[in-house]
Amino acid sequence: MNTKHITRHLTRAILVGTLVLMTACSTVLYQANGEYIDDQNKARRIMVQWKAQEYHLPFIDADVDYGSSSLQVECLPDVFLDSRSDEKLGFVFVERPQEFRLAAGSPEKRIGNFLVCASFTSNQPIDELSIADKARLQVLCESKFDTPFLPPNLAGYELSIDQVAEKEETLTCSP
Amino acid sequence: MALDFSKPKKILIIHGVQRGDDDDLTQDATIKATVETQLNDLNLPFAVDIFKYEDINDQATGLVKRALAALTSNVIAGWVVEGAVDVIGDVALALSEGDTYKAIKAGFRAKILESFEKEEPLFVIAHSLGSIYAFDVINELMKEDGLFLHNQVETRPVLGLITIGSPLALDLFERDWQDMTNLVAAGQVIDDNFKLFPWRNYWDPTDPIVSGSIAGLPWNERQYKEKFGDKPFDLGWDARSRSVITGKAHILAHTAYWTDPSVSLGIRQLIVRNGQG
Repeated sequence: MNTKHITRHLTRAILVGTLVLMTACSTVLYQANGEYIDDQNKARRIMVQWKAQEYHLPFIDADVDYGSSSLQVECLPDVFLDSRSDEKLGFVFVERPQEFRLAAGSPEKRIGNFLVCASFTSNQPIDELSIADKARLQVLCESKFDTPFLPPNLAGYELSIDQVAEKEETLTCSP
Repeated sequence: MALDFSKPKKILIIHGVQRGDDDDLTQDATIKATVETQLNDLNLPFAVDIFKYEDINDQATGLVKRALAALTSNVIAGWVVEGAVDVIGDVALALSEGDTYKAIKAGFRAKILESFEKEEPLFVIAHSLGSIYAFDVINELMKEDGLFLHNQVETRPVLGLITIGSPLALDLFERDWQDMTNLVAAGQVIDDNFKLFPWRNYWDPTDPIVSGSIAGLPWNERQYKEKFGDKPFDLGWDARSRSVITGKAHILAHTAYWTDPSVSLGIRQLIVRNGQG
């Protein structure tokens, strides 16, 4: 087999692989939105966003899901990016105790070397939520950094699933 | 020498497996534009620089490329072969850990120390094969006298590492947590006040450079967990692996990290949390 044949087979394998993958996977993007009132008495948007990709590959035991998530707040520079779907704790964001401390009155929950710093709860599992469903976001930790984060709130911020977005969004600061 | 945290933050990029030469590399401009949208309204000035080593690699593989291209029967096949040698040659040079590997490491190290001499708070973003060089150089710097002193962030020439589309967990490269430098001084422990060294590893499930699967079968992170997991924590590292859904598949996913919103949010988080001292 000469070089020409090898490159032709390689190119075909990559093209077929790409096509199969693109048809075997589906991507969904959810947003839950709410607000909090900042120290200037302005309403600022809170957004929990999660993106999931599902693969259904025939003949291969690879029916697996992947995802990314974020908790962002308008005009607050820090973000939470590390979530876990835990059987007992539900959908939570975790942080290192080297970076965040528990707020007064927060229950201490840990996953390995991480503190559970935010908890997203609803009456349905996160992957079964649909538009207009409600969710509650408890913030259990406060930042050790100079940059402020969403104030702890054990009662929870109310969020509503009001958008199944096309494109991932990043919140910055509007005047 | 110590960092001055009031200075603008600096992002240093090291690229990965590449076709072409140094002039073709524009990842610094892409990252600058992406991160600007994240940091502009935060009043957090920053600069982006890139360490390019493609010309060093090209010098080492040039003769082989030209010889193989000359042996092929037509222009298109010759171009494909030349491209394949360009890419595979980059990997082979890193694996061999010979003179070219050493020259690239020395160049990247010098670039980091040049920034440290200017007291700039520096963050490294390493793509693909570049993450092997970044991993090795940063670990070597951590062992040097006077640098990365226990819990003194101002002595860290690099404040954080982001790897994107990294093959670090592949058996081929023989790296794991045991190759990582212990940042905890003898007799000390990691308490809640310890300043962990942050390393964020971003991967798209179908990226074949991450998984090692030429078919691009979805990666299940098992290899990463076996080789790294949370073991780096005991060495003073905050290593976190994050999946990214770039919306692209296979080799297109491998080059999609540069503009992905999840990655740019991660860069923002890293700088905000670690750029203030």
